[in-house]
Amino acid sequence: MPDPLVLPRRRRMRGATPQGTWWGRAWLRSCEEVAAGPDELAGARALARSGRFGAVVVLAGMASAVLDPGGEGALVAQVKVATLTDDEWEVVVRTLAGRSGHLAALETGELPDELVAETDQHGVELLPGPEAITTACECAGWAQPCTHALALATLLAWAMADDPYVLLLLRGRTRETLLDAAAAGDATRHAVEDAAVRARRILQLSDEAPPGQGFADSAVAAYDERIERLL
Amino acid sequence: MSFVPLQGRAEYVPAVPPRESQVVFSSRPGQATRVIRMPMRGAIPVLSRAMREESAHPSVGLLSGATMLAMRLVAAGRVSRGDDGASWRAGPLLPEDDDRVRALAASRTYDDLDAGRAEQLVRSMLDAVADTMTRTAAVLPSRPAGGGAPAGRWRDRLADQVADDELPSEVTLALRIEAPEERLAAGELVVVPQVHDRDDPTHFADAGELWGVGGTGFSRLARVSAGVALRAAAAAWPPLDRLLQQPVPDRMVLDGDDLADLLEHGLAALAAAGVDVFWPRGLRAELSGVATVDAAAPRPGHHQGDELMTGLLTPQALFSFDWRLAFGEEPDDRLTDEEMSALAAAATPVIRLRDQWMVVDPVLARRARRHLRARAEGRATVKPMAALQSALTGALEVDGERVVVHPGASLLRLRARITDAAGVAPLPEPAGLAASLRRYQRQGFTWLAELTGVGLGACLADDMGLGKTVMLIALHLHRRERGLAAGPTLVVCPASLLGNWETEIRRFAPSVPVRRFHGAARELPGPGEGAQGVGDGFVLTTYGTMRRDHDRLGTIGWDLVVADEAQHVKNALSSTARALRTIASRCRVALTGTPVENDLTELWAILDWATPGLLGSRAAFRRAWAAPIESGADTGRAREFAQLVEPFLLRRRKSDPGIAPELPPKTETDQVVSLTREQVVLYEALVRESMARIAQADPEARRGLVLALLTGLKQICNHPAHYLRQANGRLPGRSQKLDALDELLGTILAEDGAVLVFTQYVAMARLLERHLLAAGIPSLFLHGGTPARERESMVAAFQSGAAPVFLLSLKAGGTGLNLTRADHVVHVDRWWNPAVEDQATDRAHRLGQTRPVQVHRLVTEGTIEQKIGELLLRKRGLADAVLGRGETALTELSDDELRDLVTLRRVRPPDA
Repeated sequence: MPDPLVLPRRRRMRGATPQGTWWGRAWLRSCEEVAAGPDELAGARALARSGRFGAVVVLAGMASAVLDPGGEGALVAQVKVATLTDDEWEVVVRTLAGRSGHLAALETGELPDELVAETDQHGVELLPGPEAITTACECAGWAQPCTHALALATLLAWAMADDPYVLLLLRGRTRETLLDAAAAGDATRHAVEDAAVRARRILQLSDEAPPGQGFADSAVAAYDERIERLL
Repeated sequence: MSFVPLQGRAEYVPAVPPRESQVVFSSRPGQATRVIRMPMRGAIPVLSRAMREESAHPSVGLLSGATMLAMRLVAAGRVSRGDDGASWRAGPLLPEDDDRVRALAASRTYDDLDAGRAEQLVRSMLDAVADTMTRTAAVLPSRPAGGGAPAGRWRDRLADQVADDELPSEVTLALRIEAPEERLAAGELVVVPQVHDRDDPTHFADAGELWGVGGTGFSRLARVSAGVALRAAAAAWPPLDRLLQQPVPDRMVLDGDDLADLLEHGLAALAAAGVDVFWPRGLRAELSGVATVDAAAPRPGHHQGDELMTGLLTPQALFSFDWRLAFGEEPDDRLTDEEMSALAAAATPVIRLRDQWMVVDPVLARRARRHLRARAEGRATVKPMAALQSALTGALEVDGERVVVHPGASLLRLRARITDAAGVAPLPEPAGLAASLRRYQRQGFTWLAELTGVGLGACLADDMGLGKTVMLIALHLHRRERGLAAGPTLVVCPASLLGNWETEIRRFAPSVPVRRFHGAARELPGPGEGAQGVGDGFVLTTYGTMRRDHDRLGTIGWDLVVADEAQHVKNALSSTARALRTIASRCRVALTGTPVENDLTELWAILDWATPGLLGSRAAFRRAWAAPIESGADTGRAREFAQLVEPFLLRRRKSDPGIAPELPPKTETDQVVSLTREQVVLYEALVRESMARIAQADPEARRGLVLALLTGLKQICNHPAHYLRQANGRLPGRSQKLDALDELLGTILAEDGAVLVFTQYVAMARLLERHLLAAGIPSLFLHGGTPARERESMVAAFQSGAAPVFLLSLKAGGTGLNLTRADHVVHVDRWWNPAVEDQATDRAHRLGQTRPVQVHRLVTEGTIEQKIGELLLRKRGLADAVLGRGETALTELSDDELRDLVTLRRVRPPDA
């Protein structure tokens, strides 16, 4: 069990709501899809801004926080996210390795849309849909998500705007695991696959290798050069 | 690829790592012995085609078969990491692969090689091929840009089993440009990102190696840091984003467009982002632009000399401008026309010049194109003032770029004449000059004559008192005696100086007609007046009149326009300055006693009037000169600017060596000013009334009346408010004495001088004190009623520089006062007793005074002040007799004599 990620308590916010990111908004849309109506959303947002939440603890597939709803005692709200399987993570890690820029983008706080699109092509949804998200809360309300859980989801959206690894952790992997995987597995696979492509090409070319031994034979010289370039 | 013998025996030489194994080919026995030792990279192509060569030696067949078998394994992805982690081997092998290995070995035994050893050889060869193929996927051969052993000690440390987390993981990025010949031929280059240990930049590796299997001397996590650094670099220069799209950001090809963009924008942006770019030595052409500016070839029939000199700078003249790139300073370093054309025509920044590949800055290439086009269209010319500027500064701004300029022969001659103007042998004094010029005055007059002689303007900024007026009068006479002038000279000055100009011209050039263009009934010389009228003399006007009447003034064909106290037009946007610019003349001279060279915008305003175009437009001047100089960032620019303006600005100070000894220790000048209309009315009314009463008075009363009349007239001459006892009355615009004092103070303060201002009247001194206070000029005021202790502290304050102006109203001249800090003395009103005046003056001019003292007496024109002043000059003896006893002597004059003395001499209509 890796260490949880603890997002420090947010003070009461004044002024404008932080500028969102496309993935943060996508996350929030999935959370809101089952919400009752705009009033609830506005209430959740106001609660998220109120500074009444404690620190948010993020674990693989789950985030929870204690809040003071005012009047009643403290409540614990929770957001659960379906984690990706190891095979699905394999796809993500391979996709990450496909472009050196992906990991660099994550490291600088950006979730590359190509990464999401490319994993999507392999049937892996990095961004959870509504069905992958469930919420729970200690409040008396019977409908989920309640305002408290939605407010927690909103806090998570703001957190992942700064650090997309929050989203990836909710999907099951920590930054450290991903970096390790990227640092180890991908280079081997890449090297092997790349070599295979070139070897196949060399085999093709050798089928049509020119005869002769290169006595000032330009065809032979050209052949040798083409092969050498593939090495 | 040279011929590799296949019929002889081939030997496989294994090595660790396997990719460094070699194959030695040799020729068939009996033939001339040839042995070729090849690395795997060279051997694989040969072996891959040797399969089809039936005459090949069995050893070649064996290695060839092993190569192809290995290639199939690699193609199927059946390679894995070696035990050392730093190399690759073939496998794991499937049972059918093992069968193939054995079959191959069995079919190609030869000589002393049995199947068992053959199989061993094949398996080793499989690893060598697999390692060669796979290793190159992510890891490029290390080619450090800095030379030397590639991170040697790090590899050693690695051999000592250094744990990964002890290796550096934080890196910075640099880009290495590589230039393989075949890329260059296509106009392309290769960029290889290089990572450096953040804590030890001498430790570095190619970024691509971080994606390899290790052995780089960097932690595995360094690739994350490298990716982040690369991302930052791509933000600075976007084409680098292509590297981020690659699985391994090992290298990318820059085509011509990328390269142009890199040179034009990328390098600066990357430098700002802290990313170094290393170029192969000698690849980047160090070209710079040089230009030659010269007069267009003289037309046939024109001989060289002064005429050409003058013609050189006519507005119609054009100078040829030849710009080309050069490798260095020598003439041979300049590109030929053909090379310039080749460079301009190149589609990519990579071109071949003088048998060498070069990367040429696209900005230079573009300018080469522009210049060639301009030359083809006959537009490669510059205007005279720009040519002059380039000759003086050695540089020229062309299309917003500064280029180095070599002046041609004619420009060099012109430059020499201008820069030497202040030092050439002085001209003889003009015959018509009724004065003897001091040496520095002759030098100054010669300088003016030289510059105006080639049609340029000048700004004479000598200290007050050095005789700018007389130098200017000499210039006027000189131009006429040499036949250079056509038309009169216009002097524009503050109203308070009109009288002075007229007096000095009459005194120093009695033969020259002078006319004032001033007042309500002002008239200009008519065409009929010719050389005998003022048509060839001086016309004096004020800035105010000039502003209102510049249309009329502009119709005269002036030879010379002089702006005296030219700081009045230092604001080029003012209506006065704009009006002055509309008055055309052959040449212009600005006179000023205040230092102008310290405010660039003011200096521009004055010099741009005197020599229009020399410094470029106001905006261009700000951009090209003022901004870089004022920011202080570029001292070279300041030096260039000095070279540019120095020839047009002559400023000598009283304290300059060679000038002070020439000056008398004390100079006295009368500042002649006019009465205002208000003063005239008061003056005439007082004379009329008093004379009527005096005529009827008895002798005792007469005495008192005469003294009252004299006092009243003197007060009116000082200021109406003085006479009318308006202690709080409005001061400006009612007395030219006040204006003249302001002018003087402006100059004195600008020179950092100090001044004593004397008046007989405490009331007048109070008015002046109030006036100075309003103008923000600190002053001290001492009068007869000041207690002795206060006197001492005031004197001490003045001597220490606490205030530049000391107002004094002391009948006794304040004996004992030592005020040697003052180098100017102003007498606001006359004492009518030279001895008293001298006593007052001597407060400043006494032992301890190191500078020459200038005495200014403010005298109202046509009034009793001026008449008594003339009396003092003309009839010194009589004056001594009459005035020796002061004013009381005047009471003894007869009525007629008295009337003569006090009646206002109307020299011209009073001020409008």
